[in-house]
Amino acid sequence: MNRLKLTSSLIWLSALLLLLLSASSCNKAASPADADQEFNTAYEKYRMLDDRDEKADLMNEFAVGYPDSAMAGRAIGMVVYNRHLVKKDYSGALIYLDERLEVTANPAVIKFIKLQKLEVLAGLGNKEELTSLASELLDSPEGLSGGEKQQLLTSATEAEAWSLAEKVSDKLLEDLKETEDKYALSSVIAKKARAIRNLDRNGDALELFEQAASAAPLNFAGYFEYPVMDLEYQWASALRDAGEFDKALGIFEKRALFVKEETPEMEGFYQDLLRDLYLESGRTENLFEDYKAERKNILSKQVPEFSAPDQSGKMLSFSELKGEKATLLVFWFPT
Amino acid sequence: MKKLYETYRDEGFEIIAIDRANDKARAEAFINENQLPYVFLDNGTSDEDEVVRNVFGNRVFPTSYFLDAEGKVRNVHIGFEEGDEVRFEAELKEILGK
Repeated sequence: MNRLKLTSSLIWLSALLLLLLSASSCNKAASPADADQEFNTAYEKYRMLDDRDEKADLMNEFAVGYPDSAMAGRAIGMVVYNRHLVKKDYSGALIYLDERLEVTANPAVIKFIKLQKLEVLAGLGNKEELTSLASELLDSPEGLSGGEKQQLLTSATEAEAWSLAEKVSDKLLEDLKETEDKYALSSVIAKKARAIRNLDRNGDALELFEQAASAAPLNFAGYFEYPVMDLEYQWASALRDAGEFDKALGIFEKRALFVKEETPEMEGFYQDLLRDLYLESGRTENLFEDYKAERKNILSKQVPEFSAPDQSGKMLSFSELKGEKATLLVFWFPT
Repeated sequence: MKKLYETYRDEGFEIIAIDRANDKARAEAFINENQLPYVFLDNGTSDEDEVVRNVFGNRVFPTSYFLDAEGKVRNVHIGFEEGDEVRFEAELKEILGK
């Protein structure tokens, strides 16, 4: 009886030991906490390295060692960036991403890799594969986040995959139905218009550009980021194709007349565009300077009276502060 | 900017700087550190106070507006790059009629 008890206790004890042992060896390979710790250590090292190949090798080591860890996606992103994207080696990036895709079972990592593939396919200008992978992700039950869709729209535009760009814009517009951010709305409508123009539906594109501009001003004091400048250009080109030169001029004249561009090339680009449109509208070169002076006079905005507190909290008004002959009004973030 | 101001203030030129960051402490440190001679206004925090939004509605900073004697916009600068001082001075001279 006693011996039996002892034997069974021993059996239990060894079973427990085995269980503990196997649990701890499992831990070593795949515990999320362990992988996170390992990633953090690698990332600390990564930050101290200057050499891009060394950075890539380090992160590759993590990605290979922990293919199913949630951090594998980030590591893979860093490998692709340092080893391929900085050299615009999109083919190499694609091969690497496909390799990693085969060895992971973590859905989050798979999605991360596929998102990376979208950018790489755009870089390669591979419209077909970009469109099919993007559609797969867009139509999956999980879908894509707003930021991911915006990124995809940029990729589709870069690859000139215009049907895809139209589809993504429509999805974004669905998300923005209730938005109060009129600039976001305007920007997506204008991007959709650009896609549609490139799909040879110029009339529809013009309507959309108008819609975008009425949601929020696309030009002058409104919105200057690069894609929107390109959108202004697209809008003006659409009007030009439709023979509406005066309207096309209207889109650019504020920018060409008032804005001092960052580079002489950009300045020249807008000046030439203004001149071309002016001449295409049937007017003559010798009146161009007069036209500019007149439009500048008409379009110039008078700064309305306003007050704001200075550092001591004292309210000061624009009319008190303005120079007798000239004023420079600067809006900035002191850094 | 400071040099431009000191050179032309006697000819009827003023600079009005508006802090878009709404960060009083940082603005104050910046003013003291650079010994700014011109006025520096706080942008305000509520929507009604937001000078930028009400007056210009712009979203990119820093943005500078050159105004003439009547307070009408003559030129707009987006951003500020090394070397822009030269362009600023040329434009100011034009407005001052020099």
